[in-house]
Amino acid sequence: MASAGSGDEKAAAAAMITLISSDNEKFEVTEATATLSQTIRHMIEDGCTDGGVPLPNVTSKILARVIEYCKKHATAAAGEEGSSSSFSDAAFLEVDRAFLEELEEFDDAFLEVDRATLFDLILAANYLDIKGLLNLTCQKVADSVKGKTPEQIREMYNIVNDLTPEEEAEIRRETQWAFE
Amino acid sequence: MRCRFRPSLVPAPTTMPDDDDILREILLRLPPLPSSLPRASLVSKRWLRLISDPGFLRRFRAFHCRQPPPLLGIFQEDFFCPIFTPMLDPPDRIPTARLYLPLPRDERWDFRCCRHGLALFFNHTHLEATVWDPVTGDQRRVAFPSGFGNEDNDFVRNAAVLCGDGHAGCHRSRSFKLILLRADDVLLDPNARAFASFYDSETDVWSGLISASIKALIHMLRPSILVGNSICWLLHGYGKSGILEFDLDRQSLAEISTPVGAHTSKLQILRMENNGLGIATLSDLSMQVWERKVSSVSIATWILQKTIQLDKLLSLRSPEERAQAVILGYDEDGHAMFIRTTIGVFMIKLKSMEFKNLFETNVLTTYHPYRTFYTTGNSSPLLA
Repeated sequence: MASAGSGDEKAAAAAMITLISSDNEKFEVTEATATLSQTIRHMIEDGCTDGGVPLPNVTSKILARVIEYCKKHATAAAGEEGSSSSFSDAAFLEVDRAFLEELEEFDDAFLEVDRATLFDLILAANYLDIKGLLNLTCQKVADSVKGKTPEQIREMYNIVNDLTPEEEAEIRRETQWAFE
Repeated sequence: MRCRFRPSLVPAPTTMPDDDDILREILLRLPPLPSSLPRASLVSKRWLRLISDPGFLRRFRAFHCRQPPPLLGIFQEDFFCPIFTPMLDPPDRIPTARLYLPLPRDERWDFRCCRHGLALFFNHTHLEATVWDPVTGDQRRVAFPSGFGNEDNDFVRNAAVLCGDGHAGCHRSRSFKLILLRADDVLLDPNARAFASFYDSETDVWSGLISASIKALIHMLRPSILVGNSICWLLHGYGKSGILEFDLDRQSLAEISTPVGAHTSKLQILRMENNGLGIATLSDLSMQVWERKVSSVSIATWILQKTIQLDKLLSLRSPEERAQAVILGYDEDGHAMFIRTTIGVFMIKLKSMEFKNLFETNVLTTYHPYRTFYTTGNSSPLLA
């Protein structure tokens, strides 16, 4: 697990990048996996990846999860490129659909984490600039407050109500129906 | 295995990240329903600050724009004012009084169209078109162009409003477009024509008259339907029917014939999947859905897509229940019909055939479905 991607036989031929977590653990990944992160893509383009890419804001626990996500989605991206270049028959579309379903299942299972881990993943996705992962994780938090009252949201996420009674009264007056 | 006792350098957050950008990304993904943002803005000062930012609200609408905005309810014309009837369940049920526009009772008004979160009225007293944003309350008045008035020969028979940039409810530019229609009397004039004038709020100029020959009257009680980049109105009367199409790209007007079998007086233009033109015909309790297909050599044919037995679908059994059904309106973004029967007004989704009994009513009016992203206190005025 620590050297994600090393089991992949094809990986030996592909360019490999070493990512170093905040707790100094090294992860070897293919360039295709790593470049889902725009931050790392820019570093590769600038030739700043020799000796590994230190990621002082990401722990090994979170980095392992992020790499797991990127590996899966890098394969998906490669598959999409392949499908658009040559085949477009029904059988191929069927394979595409099956793969998309599998990807959705992967994403759902991937999000089965506690709240602290979810926030760590959001911070990592934001820092590494991985759009798909940021979208997925932020949507999960947004879904969790869907239909909840302000009191329930504060309780769920440990938020202190620092609004003045006047501010609160004004919002309630303007959109009273939203609190019924 | 990695060491379990290694101290973590970054403490695991138990609360939301402090980063405003991240909270913004989360808030952006709240469902685009009317209660979402008011509720979230009452969580804390920070949430309120982020949500009140006009830039955030623009992004919120743009983010959700890939789907049509939610159907908040319908507008109907009452004696003097447009009356809003909410259709969403609490807490997204916006009260009638919130989307209310009292109109001067000593003037003659007509409610004509609702699209892209905007409503269009005519003021026949002052010969003006008024565009109203019901959520912000903002209004814009535009004088009729020459050649449109209140007399028999220049009477504005129908019209359309649409958002300037074509994005349903996104209000990116806040500009809008209008089309007014008048027509010769098809009974008196064998070479009768329909005339349109097109207005763009960005230039504040009406086009010259654009015309096409017609064989039937412009139906005044059926609002326009946006199909692709064309606005379509129903032509109907004296045993004839047709569709009048205004092509927004070419700014041209043309009459399209309806299916040969469509003799009924109960017709509704439809926007089919993939932006095709369709029409529904209702005869007793049998509704036919037709789709117009244009071949590669530009030959158009109407294809009967499905026949819906309303009595079977809606389980109408007794003779009283099976009395006549009436088309009240059509939601072009949701491909759903509003049909009144003796046991209530039904909304029927024509693709899935799901239906809902909305309420009972004896009032026969035209329904104008109203869809928008309810984000108040933010929008720049119309045509900023």
